[in-house]
Amino acid sequence: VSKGARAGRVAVATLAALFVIAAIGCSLLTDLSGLRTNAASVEGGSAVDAPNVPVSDASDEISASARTFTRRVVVANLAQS
Amino acid sequence: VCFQVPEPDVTTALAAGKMRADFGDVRVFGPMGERSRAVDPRGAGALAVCFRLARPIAVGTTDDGYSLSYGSKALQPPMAADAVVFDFFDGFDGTSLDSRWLVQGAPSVGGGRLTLPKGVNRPGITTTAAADGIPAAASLEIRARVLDPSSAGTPGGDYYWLGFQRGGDFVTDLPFTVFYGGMNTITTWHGSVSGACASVCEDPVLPQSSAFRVYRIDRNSDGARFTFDDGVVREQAGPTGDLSVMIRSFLTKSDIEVDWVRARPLIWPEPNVTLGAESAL
Repeated sequence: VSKGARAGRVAVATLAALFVIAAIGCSLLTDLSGLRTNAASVEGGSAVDAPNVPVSDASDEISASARTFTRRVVVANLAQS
Repeated sequence: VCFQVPEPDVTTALAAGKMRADFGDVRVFGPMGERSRAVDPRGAGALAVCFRLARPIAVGTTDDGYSLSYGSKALQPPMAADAVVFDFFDGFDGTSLDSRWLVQGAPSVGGGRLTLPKGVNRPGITTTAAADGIPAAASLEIRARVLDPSSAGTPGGDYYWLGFQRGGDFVTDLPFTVFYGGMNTITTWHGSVSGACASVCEDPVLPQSSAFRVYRIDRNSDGARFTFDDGVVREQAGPTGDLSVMIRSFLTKSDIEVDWVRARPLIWPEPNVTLGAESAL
């Protein structure tokens, strides 16, 4: 086996290991993010206790998975001066 | 403010898998980040959403700094924060009745609901108006159901009262602004000690069912507006004053269950909320 081929195998193995590490890292970050969301809601800049719902309850129900959908909410003060 | 996501939009989002069936992913964001919100489905398939504004809106102007978000697992879990959004809220989630209530008969709390048991004891709960934190101009909502709407009432004619009455007692007398139950019916009663509706103004008589319904009464110095399951059924001139919240049953053969009670200051005219088109992130 040539040095080049050996080096290529090492590089592929290294990349694979990095992907695994990255995946674990992302998973941990996601979990931590979920925990953080679990812990409190925010109202006017201060933390407010909120019911702690297991994250597992939320999974697998949304086929669109990671997509988030938003709609702008415009509030009009109809009072007259 | 409160607004509704209309039924077709909710149905479409649910069918497309964009929104959780329990609406736990529905969130509100404002100019300073996420807002605590109260979300509850309505009978026709709409979704009622309430939140507190993050900043004042000047008279005659609009604020487009808010958004409704749904569909992302990363945003779990929901922020169930009715007690934060509303000045007055009781979801009856404990094992006993909160001390804010005055009690008549033997109401019970369990399973997230208040039960007014059938019988002849006329069970009920009420507040002391001056101390309940609900201002004279307020919007009150009660989600409740009558398990058997064909039940007889206590001899004398009363069936059940949901709304405002007098102040801090269980004497069935003027003044009152209530949804007034009958046998298989529900109507509105607005009664003052003097002036307009000096005895009682009653109208309209609507059919009642055993389903959970949302009874809403808006009151201010001009009068009262009754909303039954999101449909305005009566607007009655004549002030109500700062009466007490009253939930009371006179039914002899049916329990009444109450899911929650909530109230907030009423700004009139109410702010108008417009929902923009959906966009995906």
